[in-house]
Amino acid sequence: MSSFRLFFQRLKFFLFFGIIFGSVFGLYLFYLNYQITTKFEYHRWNLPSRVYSDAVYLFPGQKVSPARLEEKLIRLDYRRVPGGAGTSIQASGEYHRDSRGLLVYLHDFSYPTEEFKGFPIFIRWDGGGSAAGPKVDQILRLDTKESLVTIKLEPELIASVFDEKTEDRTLIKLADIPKSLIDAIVTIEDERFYRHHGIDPQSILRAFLVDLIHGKLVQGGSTLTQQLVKNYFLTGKKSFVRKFNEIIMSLLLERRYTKEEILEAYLNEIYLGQRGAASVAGVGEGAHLFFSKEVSQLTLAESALLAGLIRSPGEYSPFRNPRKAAERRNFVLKEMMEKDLITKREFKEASREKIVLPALRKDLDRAPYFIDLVQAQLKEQFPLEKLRAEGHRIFTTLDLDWQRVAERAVREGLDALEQKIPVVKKRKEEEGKKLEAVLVAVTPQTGYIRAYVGGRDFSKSQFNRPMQAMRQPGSAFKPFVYLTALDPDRSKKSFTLASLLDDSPLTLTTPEGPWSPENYEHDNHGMIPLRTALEKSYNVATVRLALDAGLDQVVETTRLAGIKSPIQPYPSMALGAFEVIPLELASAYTIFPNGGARSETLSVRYLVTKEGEVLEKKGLKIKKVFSAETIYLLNSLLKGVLERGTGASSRALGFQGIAGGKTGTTSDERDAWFVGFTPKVLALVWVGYDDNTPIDMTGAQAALPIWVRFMKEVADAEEDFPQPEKITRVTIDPESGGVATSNCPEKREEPFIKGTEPKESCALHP
Amino acid sequence: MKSGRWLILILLVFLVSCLPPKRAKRRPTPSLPPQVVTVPEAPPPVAEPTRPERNASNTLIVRGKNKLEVGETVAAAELFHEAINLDPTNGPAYYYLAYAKYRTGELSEVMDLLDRGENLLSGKKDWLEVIGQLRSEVQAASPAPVQ
Repeated sequence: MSSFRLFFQRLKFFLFFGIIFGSVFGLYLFYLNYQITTKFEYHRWNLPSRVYSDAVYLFPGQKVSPARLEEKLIRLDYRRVPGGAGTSIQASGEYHRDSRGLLVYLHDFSYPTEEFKGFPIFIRWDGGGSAAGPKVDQILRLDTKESLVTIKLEPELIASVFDEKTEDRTLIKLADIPKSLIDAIVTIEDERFYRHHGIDPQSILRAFLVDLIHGKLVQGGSTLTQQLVKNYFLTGKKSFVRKFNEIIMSLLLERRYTKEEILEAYLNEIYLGQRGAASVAGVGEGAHLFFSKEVSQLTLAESALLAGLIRSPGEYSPFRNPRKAAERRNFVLKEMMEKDLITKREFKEASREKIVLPALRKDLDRAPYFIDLVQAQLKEQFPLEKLRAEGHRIFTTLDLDWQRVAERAVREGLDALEQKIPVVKKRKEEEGKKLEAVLVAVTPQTGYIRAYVGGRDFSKSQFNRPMQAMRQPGSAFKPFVYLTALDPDRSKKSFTLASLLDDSPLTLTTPEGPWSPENYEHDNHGMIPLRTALEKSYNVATVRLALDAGLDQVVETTRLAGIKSPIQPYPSMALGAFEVIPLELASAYTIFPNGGARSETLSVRYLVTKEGEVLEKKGLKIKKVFSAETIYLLNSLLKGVLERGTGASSRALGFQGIAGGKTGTTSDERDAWFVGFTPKVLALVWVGYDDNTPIDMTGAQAALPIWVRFMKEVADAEEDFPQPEKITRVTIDPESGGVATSNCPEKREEPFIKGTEPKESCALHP
Repeated sequence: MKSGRWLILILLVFLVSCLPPKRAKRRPTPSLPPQVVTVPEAPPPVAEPTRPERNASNTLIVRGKNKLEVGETVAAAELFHEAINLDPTNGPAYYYLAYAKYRTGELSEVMDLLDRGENLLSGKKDWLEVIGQLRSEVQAASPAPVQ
C-alpha cells in the first residue's frame, strides 16, 4: 500500500470519526447552551416571597418602654453600637441606647406606596414616673434638628416562603454594588477576571503549584465564571464530566454574556452562610445578614469581610468566629492595598474597624398559623409555587408586638389552666391530652388581623383552628339575639333596655320532641331586666327573647353581621347551638365596636412584585349594616357583662378600663369562649380540645383569663364608645322598667333610642 | 490528531457564533401629571393631649390634605388610610378618606365611610355639617341613588 493511499485511508478514518464526534459534541454544546440561556436568561433564581408585618408608628406620648422598643429594633436587625450622642451612629441600621434615650439611624425601606430614606433620630423618654409606665417624650430628627410628631418604623419580616432549596436571596444590580465590594471579591477570588475568557490557565497552574508546595488543597484555580457555572448550573459532585462541563459552560457563558452580566450573576448566586434552616445566597442578602444594611451602604471593611467569607462561609463567619473573620478581612484588605486598589491609610482605618453585627435571628417563622392563613387567602390568585419563586413582598396586617403578647397569653394561660383545673391536669398527665386555644385580635374599624394564634404549637399541629375549626359559639352568640330584639326596624316586638324578660321554666315543642332550655346553674329567675338576662347569660330568657324578636330575624341579623356558616331558625339557635368558624365570629363582632359597620377581617394589605409593582391592594372595606343607635344599646349591655355579669372576673384579673364582651360556654362544656372589645381592639379567645372532649370549664374560667392577659398589654381602654345623637338617657327602676321615682330602691340610668324611652313612672314604687 | 482538534475548535466557534442575540430592554412608560383639586373647607382635626395617637394621626391627615391640594388623590387616600390605621377612631380621617374616594370615583365606599365618620364625630356640629354637605354632593353626583 502506497503511503499516499495510507494517508487517504487515515484521513477518511479521522474525518469520519471527526464528523461523528463533532456532531455529537455539537449537539452536546447545543444542549449546554440551551441550559445556559434558559436558566440564565429567563429564570435565574427562585426567589422566596417575603411576608412582612404592618409598619408601626412611634409618636410622643406613646406608652412604650426603651427596652421594648430596643427589642423591636433588634428584631428589625438594627445593630447596637457603643458611643455618645451625635457621634456614635453614622450609618443606617445602627442604634445606641443610654440613660437619656435611644439614638437610631433608621433603615431605608421600600414601602408599596413610597420609598423611605432613613435618617438619624433621637427618642427621649419622660423618665417613666407615671403609673402607666414610660412614655415617649420627644422624637428629634438629628440631621435637621426637627421635632417629629410621628415616625414610621419599617415592617418586620415575619417569614419567607421558600421553595425546596430554602435559599434566601435579595437580587441586586451591579450598579448598586459598591466598588469596594467588587474590587475585594475580584481581588481575592479571581484577580484576572477581566482578562480571561472563562477559564484561566495561569491561575490553574499557580494553584497547582501552591497546592503542591503545601501538600494539600490550599488554593483553587477556578475563575469567578467557573464558580458561577459550578454553583448555578451543576452539582457540587466532583467528577471529570462535571469539570469538563464546567469548562465548556464557562467558555460559552463568557462568549454569550458580558463580564458585567456574569459578575452580577455571581454576586447574586454566591453562598454566604445560614440563617436558621435557610441558606443565605448573594451579597444582597449577605449584607442583610451580617450588617443589616443594603449592599450599597457597605463600608470598605464590611466589603472586605463579605468578600473574605466566600471561600469558607462557615469558618469565616463573624457570628461564629469573629477573630478569624477579622483576620480574613484584613488579609483581603492587604491584598487590595498591594494591588493599589486602596491606599495605606484606607487599609489601616478599615482593618481597625470593629465588626458590629446585628443579633442573629433564627426564628424565621414568627407567626406560622398566620402565614398559613395568608397563603390560604392568597391561594386563588397567587398559588404557592408562585409565592415560592417570584420574590413577591407581602405586606400584612399583623402587629408582631401584639402577636408576641398573644402567643405568650395563650401559652401561659393554657399552662395555668392545666396546672389549676384538676380534670384538665389529670388528662394532661395521664392521657397526654393538651388543651388547645385560639386568639385572634382585630382592629374593628379596618378588619386588620393584628394577632393570630391558631393553636398551641404549629410544629405539632398544623390545624389552623381560627379558619378551619367548626365550633359551637354557645352564649357568645347571644348578642346577635339581643341586637335583633333591640333593633326597632328588625324585631317583631319592641324591646328596650327597660324591658323585662321572663326567665321562668319553658318547654317548647320541636320536631325532635319537647325541648326545655335550662340556665347554666339550672335555676330560674322569673321576670328580670333585659340587661340582667344578657349580663348573666340566662338561657331561658334569651330563648323567649329570640322567639319574640323572630327566629328568622335573628338569622337575618347574623347574615348581615357576616356569619356565613349554616344557621337554621330553631329556638336552640338563640343559645349558639350551631357551628361557626372562630374567624367569622370575630368578624361578626366587629359591628359592635364599629358603630354598626361590618368590616371583613383582612390579613394582607399589599402584594408587591420584586420590581415594586403593586399586584394586590386591600383597602378599608366597611359596610354599615346596623344603626349606630341600636349598636350603642348593645355596647352598653356588653360593657355590663364585664362590670357585673359573667365577665366580671376580668376586673379581678386586672383588666381595667372601658370594654364590652361576652362569654360563651356550650351546654356540654366542650367550648369556652370570650369575645371582647374596646373601641379600638377586638379579641376572640376560644379554648377546648380538638376531639371535642368536655373541658369542664366555662368561658369565664378558661377563655377570659387569656383574653385579659392579652388585653392588659395591648389595649388602651380609656376611650369610650361614641354616643350617637339620637340616644337619650333615662333613669329607670330596673325592677319595673318604669321611670324611676324617688321611692325606687334601685335606680339605673339606661340609654334609649330617642322616642323609645319609657314615659310611665315606676308602677312598683309610685 | 491535530486536525481533529482544529475541527472541534472550528465547530465550537461556529456553534457559539450561532447563538441568538441579546434582547433589548423596554423603556418605562411616562406617568400622567396629577390633576390639581380644591380641598373643601373643614374644621381642623381636634388635638387631644390625652390621646397622643390622635395627634400623630392628625399629622397624617394634614399630609394627606397637602397631597390632595396638589392633585395626588391616590397618595392622599393612602395617608388618610394610614391615619385611620394609626388611630381607628379618628373621625376626620374617615371624612377625608371619603372625600378622596369621591374624587377618585369610588362612590360605593364613600357613604359607609361618611357614616363611620359621622358616628365618631357625633356631637361635633361643625363636622357633622361638612359631612352632610359631602353626602349631598355625592348623592347628587351618583348615577343611581347611593345607600
